[in-house]
Amino acid sequence: MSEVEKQEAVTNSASEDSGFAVNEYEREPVPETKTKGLKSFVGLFAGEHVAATELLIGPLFVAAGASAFSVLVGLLVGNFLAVTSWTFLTAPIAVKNRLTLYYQLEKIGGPAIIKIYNAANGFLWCCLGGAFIYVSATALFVPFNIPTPAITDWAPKNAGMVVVIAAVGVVFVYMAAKGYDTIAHFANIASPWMAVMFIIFGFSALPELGVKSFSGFWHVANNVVWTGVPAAGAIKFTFWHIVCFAWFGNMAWHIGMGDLSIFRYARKARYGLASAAGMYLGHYIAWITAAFLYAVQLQRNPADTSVVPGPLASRVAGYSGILLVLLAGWTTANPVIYRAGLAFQAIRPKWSRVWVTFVAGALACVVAAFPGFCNRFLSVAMLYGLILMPMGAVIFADHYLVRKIGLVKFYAEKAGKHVYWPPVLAWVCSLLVCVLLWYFAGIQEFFLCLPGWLASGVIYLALSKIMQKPLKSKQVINE
Amino acid sequence: MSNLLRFISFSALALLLVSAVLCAGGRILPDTNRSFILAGTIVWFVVTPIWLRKNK
Repeated sequence: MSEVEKQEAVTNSASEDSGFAVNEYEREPVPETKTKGLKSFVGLFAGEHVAATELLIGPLFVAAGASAFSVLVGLLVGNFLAVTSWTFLTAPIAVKNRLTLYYQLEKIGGPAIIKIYNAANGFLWCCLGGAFIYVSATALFVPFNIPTPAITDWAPKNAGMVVVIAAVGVVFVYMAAKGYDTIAHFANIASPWMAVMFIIFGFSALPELGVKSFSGFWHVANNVVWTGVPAAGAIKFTFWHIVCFAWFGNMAWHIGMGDLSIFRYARKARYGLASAAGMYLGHYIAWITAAFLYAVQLQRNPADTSVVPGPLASRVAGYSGILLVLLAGWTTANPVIYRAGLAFQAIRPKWSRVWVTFVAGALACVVAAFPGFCNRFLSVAMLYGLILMPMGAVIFADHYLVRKIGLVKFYAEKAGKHVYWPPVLAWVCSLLVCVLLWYFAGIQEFFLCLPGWLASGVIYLALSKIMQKPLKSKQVINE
Repeated sequence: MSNLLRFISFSALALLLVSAVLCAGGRILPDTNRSFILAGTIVWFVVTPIWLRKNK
């Protein structure tokens, strides 16, 4: 497998089992005859966005003191904005160029930028893989009777917890190193069941929360589930926190353009609307029903504010709940660790893919052993997107604006440059802007995405205006 | 045969949903609900791989 093929596999591995021949056409546009219909995209999004971390996010909204209105309405608005971003920003560029994120970035910034992107992506996937391992391991906390970490705990609380997390991690990493075919097949089987289980959580929790009728739901939602009182040490979430989290929770994929690799197969740009299936099933229903599980726990013991998915699901759905937590983490951790290994290997192709995957998995296991990481998952999810999102702004600016100000699109490719500095500097400087806004202006990470994205686009255009040199006549003819 | 197996699989998922709705309405106890969910889960994971493999 060439370096380029590996890079493409990194972005595409999770989608292969969904019927998308995404490891093809890495260096050329997807032909019209190979495009797919709306149904394929609905299935893909519905499957990808019902994952293990939904069991963390829903309860963490409750722990952050969000009100019922903020959650129920804020998620509607935020998810609508996310769907809009996919439909009007990502999908049109994908359908117009029909190229992967990696190949477009390479054309804009040169091959060197892909290595930097892979390093960042690989590290972030390790962190995400750690969260999935932790969620799965919590399923085993119930049968092994392991004390759950408090919401304020950062370090592991006891040896038993570390042993269980390490054991789960070793199994997941071994399977990821072997390849993801088996678990991908298993994920296909489990996916519809998992979606139904999240709905079941909601219905099954209602009697324990004291909901006797439809009209009684609003009272319980306000006074039992989302009371508006934040847990110790948590940031108080307002309506706008919820809107921004729902909108930008997946920013690496929409405004960060990660899903160019998927939507290049769409017949029409409006297929971006298919993302609504994932958003409203995974990021609306699943987050709300996961919050119900947490509310049941608080109802039984108000002092127990720990956010530990295994025991939460077990209380309401018994053994099936434990199985859901285990499988939801497993089926998502496996491709993520596999992708992390490929991302690192793409930096230096001589490295063995198996050994690099083991190293990535070991890093993920270390992350998983620290419950504080998952207790702060709302911030972690935002940072994940923030770090990758500037490249989406560069692609957007290069696609729509570069020619309008008299510059050349895909400059690195046309000028034959190994590194074209404006996109690299736009990435670094926009992140610096975000850090400065966070540190000096006190703007929380949940609100930094839009300023960061805009800054990246503006910096890229400004630096391109300064640094782009006229192409030679042959290059201009090619253009 | 494949269609029958597929029908059994999706019936199992339907059983999960019906059981949870009945539990929400107070018609069955939470423990009974948990048993139905477990039964539906077992049927789903036993039957679905068979027809999925045949389809492939």
